[in-house]
Parts: sequence; C-alpha cells; structure tokens
Amino acid sequence: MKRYVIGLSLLSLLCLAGCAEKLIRVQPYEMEHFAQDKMQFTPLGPRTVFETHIYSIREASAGGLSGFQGGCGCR
Amino acid sequence: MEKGYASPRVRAHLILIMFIVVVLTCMAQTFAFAGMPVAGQQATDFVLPGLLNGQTLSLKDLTGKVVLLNIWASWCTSCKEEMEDLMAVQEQYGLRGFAFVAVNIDNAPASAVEFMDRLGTKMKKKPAGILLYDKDKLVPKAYLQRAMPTSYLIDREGKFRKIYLGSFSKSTLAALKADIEEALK
Repeated sequence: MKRYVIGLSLLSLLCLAGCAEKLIRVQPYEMEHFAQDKMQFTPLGPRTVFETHIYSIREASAGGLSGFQGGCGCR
Repeated sequence: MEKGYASPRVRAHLILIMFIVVVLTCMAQTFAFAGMPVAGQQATDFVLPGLLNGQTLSLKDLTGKVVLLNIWASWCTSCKEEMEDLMAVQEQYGLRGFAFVAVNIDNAPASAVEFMDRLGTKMKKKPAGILLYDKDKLVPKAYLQRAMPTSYLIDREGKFRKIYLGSFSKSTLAALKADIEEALK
C-alpha cells in the first residue's frame, strides 16, 4: 500500500512539474538576464568550441565527444 | 483486503487525483497561450519613443497603413538575424502603404543602438522602418507575447491580421510577403 501511494505521489509530482513549467514561467520578453554569457552552463563558451575542435582532431574522429562513436577513430 | 493493495475507496481517490493531474497537464498549453490576440481583433494602441531619437509614435498614427510590428531585443540572436531581411521588406513595400515597426525591449537601449549602427554600416544605408524603444515592455505585456521574436501583421484598420511566432527563415519570409501583398490589396 505504502509503495503504491509513494509511486503514485511521485508520478503526480512529475506531472505537476510539467504543469509548473508551462504555467509559471519566465516570459520570453523577460529573458534578458538569462541570455547573458554568464548564464551559460559553461563559463568559457567560446573557449569550449576550440577545445571541442581540438579534442575531435586529437581523437581522429568526428563526434568524439558523444556516446556514439567513442573517439577510437575506427568508424 | 489483500496485503499490499489499497482499499477501493483509497483507490478511487487516487484515481480521481490522477485524473485531475492529467487534465491539468493536458490543459497547461491552453493556459499558457490563453488571451493571446487573434486575427481580426483590434490591436491595442501604444505610444513609444524612438530608439534612435526621442520622437514618440503611436500605433494610431499608422492607421491606414499595413503594419508589421516586430518585437525584438539585442540579446535575442534570432531577432538580430532576421532584422536585415525585415528591413528589405520595408524597402520593397514602403511606398505602397506598408510600415515596418521594430519595437526594442532591451532594459537599456545602448546595445540595441550599437546593433543598429553596425547594421547600418553593413547595409551601407540608414536602417529602414520605424525603430521604437519600449523600456517597460508595455507592448509585449499588452499583446501577451509568447515567443521571442514575435511579429504582428496589422491591417489598415488597426486589426491583427496574422501573428508570427519566432523568427523568419527564407521560406517563411516568402509567406510573409504573400500576406503583406494580400493585406495591401
């Protein structure tokens, strides 16, 4: 019974999270601060592009960062 | 009652809760877009200062013209990408009673002015269209803007004719031109 209720509660929370994302959200015209460079996941955005490029070359395989084609160069 | 199973009453309650949650989830999109203007609805009037000068302009001043009202910001990459194309549209239809109105919603106008200067240098001419500045975001709030950028095609009587969510690509730009042609008839 307990497991049943906990499972359902978790599922309900998951669904409600979907509601919250749509209903209470930052409007598109309010996103100026979110659009700033400092809000990116990596603080070194432009540098990451170069690093990724170098990594791909070093691994001798395009897409070396993804799970698919692990960078062994044996495509 | 078998161990591990809820009683029929508890189960009925849980099913009801689940049903409400599912209905709310399904209706979330409807709630999010509720109240957005629709075609045929009168566009709310506004009075805004110019982006490059302090001259104010209202939507009413443009009555009798087909207006493409574009809400943009300098922090919005796709807004900036489409700007040159929209200015070309103004040049194409400007003499036929069309006005391109770009409303900037930056918190401070400096970067928008800088972008317009750079665009002018790139295009080797003054940016076409009417450039307005909306610091308090009155227009996006009044028009319940739900995408960045959003463009509104407003007919000669000041009614919404079409709303374009997101930026224009080369193919959607052709559709926009067709809509403008239709509105200018």
